[in-house]
Amino acid sequence: MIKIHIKEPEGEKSIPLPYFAIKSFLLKANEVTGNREDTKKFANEIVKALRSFGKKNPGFVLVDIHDKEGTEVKITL
Amino acid sequence: MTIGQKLADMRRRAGLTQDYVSEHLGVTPQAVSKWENDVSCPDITLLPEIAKIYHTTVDDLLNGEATKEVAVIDETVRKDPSEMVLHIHVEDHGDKVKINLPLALVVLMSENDSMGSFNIGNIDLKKIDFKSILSMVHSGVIGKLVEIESADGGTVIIEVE
Repeated sequence: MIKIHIKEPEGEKSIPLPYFAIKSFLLKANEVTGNREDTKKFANEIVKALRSFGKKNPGFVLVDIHDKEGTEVKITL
Repeated sequence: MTIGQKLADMRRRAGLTQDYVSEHLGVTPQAVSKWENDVSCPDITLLPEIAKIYHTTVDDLLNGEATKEVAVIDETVRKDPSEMVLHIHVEDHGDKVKINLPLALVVLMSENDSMGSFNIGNIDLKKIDFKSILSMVHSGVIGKLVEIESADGGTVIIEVE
């Protein structure tokens, strides 16, 4: 499970995201630019690598964004 | 910086968890946590092994600041690439983006040419020459591989740990 934490001046929210959803995002994001079969294979491999790393390193911060308007986004495994 | 903070910083830079360190050194995870919170100190006999897995020296553990500079690690003490992490830090006009990519993902990205782009924030990861970075890592190079400061104040840092 990947977790997305969003902190804005108006409040905070946390979105848990199953790994299969990440696969769907990768497929959707690249359906125009990439070859469908290659993209599918790539998405599967990315998810497999993320899942394996997340199992060994729970809480690992994958992405940490702070913008100048005060919004913070953190994606953790 | 206290010794505990330094130990925590060096452990994170080495991409290791407290559980891994405790198992490797044969101590409890609570002991590692106590060291990092300055509640207790590691036994002196453990220092050489701690220095080895943190890719540093006993002297740096005790005296020096945590180093961010580039280093070439001997093959015998290199970490498994699957446990390594590539850090990309971008600062641009008040926006800060930090991306920590397990090296296993970097390998996949370097091998995949079918993707048009792979954006996180305003960074297109496909524009980074991962093949060159991996080649350096396979030669044992770790630390700060890229540091760019642009004329308009933006910075990009790419680091491997």
